[in-house]
Amino acid sequence: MSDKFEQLSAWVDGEQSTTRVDDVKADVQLQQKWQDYHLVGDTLRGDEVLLTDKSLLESIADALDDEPTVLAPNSNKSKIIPIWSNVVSLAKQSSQFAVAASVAAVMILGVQNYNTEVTQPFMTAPTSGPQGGLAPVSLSQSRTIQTPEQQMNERQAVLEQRKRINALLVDHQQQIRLQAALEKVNTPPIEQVKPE
Amino acid sequence: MHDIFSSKQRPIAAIASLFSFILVFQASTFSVYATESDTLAAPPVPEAEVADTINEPIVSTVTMNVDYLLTQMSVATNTLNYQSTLIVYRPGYEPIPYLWKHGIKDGQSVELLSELNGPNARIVRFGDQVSFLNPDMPAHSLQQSHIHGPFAHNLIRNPELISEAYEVILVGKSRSAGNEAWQLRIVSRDNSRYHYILWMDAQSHLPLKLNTLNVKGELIEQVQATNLHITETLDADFAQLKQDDMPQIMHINPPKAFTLNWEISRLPVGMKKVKRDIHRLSITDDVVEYVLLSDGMVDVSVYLQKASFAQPEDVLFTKDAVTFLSRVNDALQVSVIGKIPPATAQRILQMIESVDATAAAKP
Repeated sequence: MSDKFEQLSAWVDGEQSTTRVDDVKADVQLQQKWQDYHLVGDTLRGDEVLLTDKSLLESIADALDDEPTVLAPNSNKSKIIPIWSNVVSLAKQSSQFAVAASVAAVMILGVQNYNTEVTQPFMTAPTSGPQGGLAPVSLSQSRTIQTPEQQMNERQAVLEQRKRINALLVDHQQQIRLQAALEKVNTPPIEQVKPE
Repeated sequence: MHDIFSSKQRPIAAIASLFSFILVFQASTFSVYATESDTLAAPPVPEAEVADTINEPIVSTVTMNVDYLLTQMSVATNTLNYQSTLIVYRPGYEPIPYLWKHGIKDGQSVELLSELNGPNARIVRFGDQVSFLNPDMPAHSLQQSHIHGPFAHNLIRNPELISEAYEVILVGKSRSAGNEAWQLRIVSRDNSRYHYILWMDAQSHLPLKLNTLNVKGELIEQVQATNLHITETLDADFAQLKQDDMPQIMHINPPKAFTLNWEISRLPVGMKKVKRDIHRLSITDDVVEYVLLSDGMVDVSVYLQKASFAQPEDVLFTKDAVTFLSRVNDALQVSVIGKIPPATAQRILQMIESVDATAAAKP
């Protein structure tokens, strides 16, 4: 059984193999594997992988939504721990002390949080004046420390917005492609517009 | 230094320096004027080239004119047997190589465009039938007049369709892809679109290179042929291909009658509405009201849809030379997408007006 898949894998990679096209045509299991191997190969090579299966994309999006939010930023944790372990050896003996310290740290974080202004969730490029070249595309999240709820809402909003923008860009490309058909099949009634 | 300027010489030195300053100032102002008028009318042509065109009026000014060259190009692209490798480059992105072939088979024009990197995506055209052979999706055919390739199709096939929006200027002769080439500038008549520079093979009149420049004259897209082969006979690939093997043409139903209660009151010069409809976006299933604008070179989409979200600021970015602009106002999202400068996208967006649906109903 496993030898069958191994031979298929070699075949997909263009190596010597006993697998023939007819084998794959006859075997549904092999067909599924064949698709998987190609997908894996494309991803490894860094080729653009277009997933036509919408359900997979949606399940990934759902998984991202369900992902638990990290309560405190990781970077702070990793900075604090070595200091405690190196400088204050007492901390090892008294766990209560460590707990108290971490509570204090959380409090400081909390205070910082309340003092900072709520920044814009998206980086949007200024829209006034002509802009040449490449404007920033990324809708990067702001750096302020936020409550988990805020973070989650924000991330969701960013994902939603990306999806909406992407939907429009894809549709634009489709419309351009279809336009060629339009030109030929029925010459559209071109409305005269007064020039500026 | 101090002993050189004696008390007598000092004023002279001062005057001399003042004079030279004025000279520099004048020169700089002059160059400013020059660039202002030149940026649109003529490309930053190397001086030697300008001198060449002036000194040798043998063909360039006497017998050559733009209309003749453009007509020759459209004849050449539609009738010759040729093969060319094209590289599409956008600053900041990886160049994409294409193979482009054309021939005449059994009296009809056949064309092939295939991407040389990655999955083997190919587009084949037999006359008016364009087949998309792409590993990512089922093969299908559409009835289309041309393949949407790297070169702007109306420019190389139907140059008269861009004449309303653009002026084409013959710059002179230069060299591209190892061949002698005519260099042409395609300039938007109201300066609201991107500008283009086209290099056309002087012998065969086929396109060799096309630069897209933004308003500042910076390159935003380049199509460059690395070779061009013209053959007497049909390419072997085409000889093998059979139209009967291609998938059947899918027919797209014409949109039903409807009225939109909004209108774009003013458009840039030469820009026309070519299509308007209501459809669903394939990804989000959102219903959008849609208008497609075209000036022959570029297509611009305008979308209007309900917005269930707030978007305090406009979203504007440029990706793959395509500008995306969207604004949310009164729970309506308006988006403008196309290969146009951001300022023009903004102007189009501002010209959207609501109109009385019954009054706007046109036959």
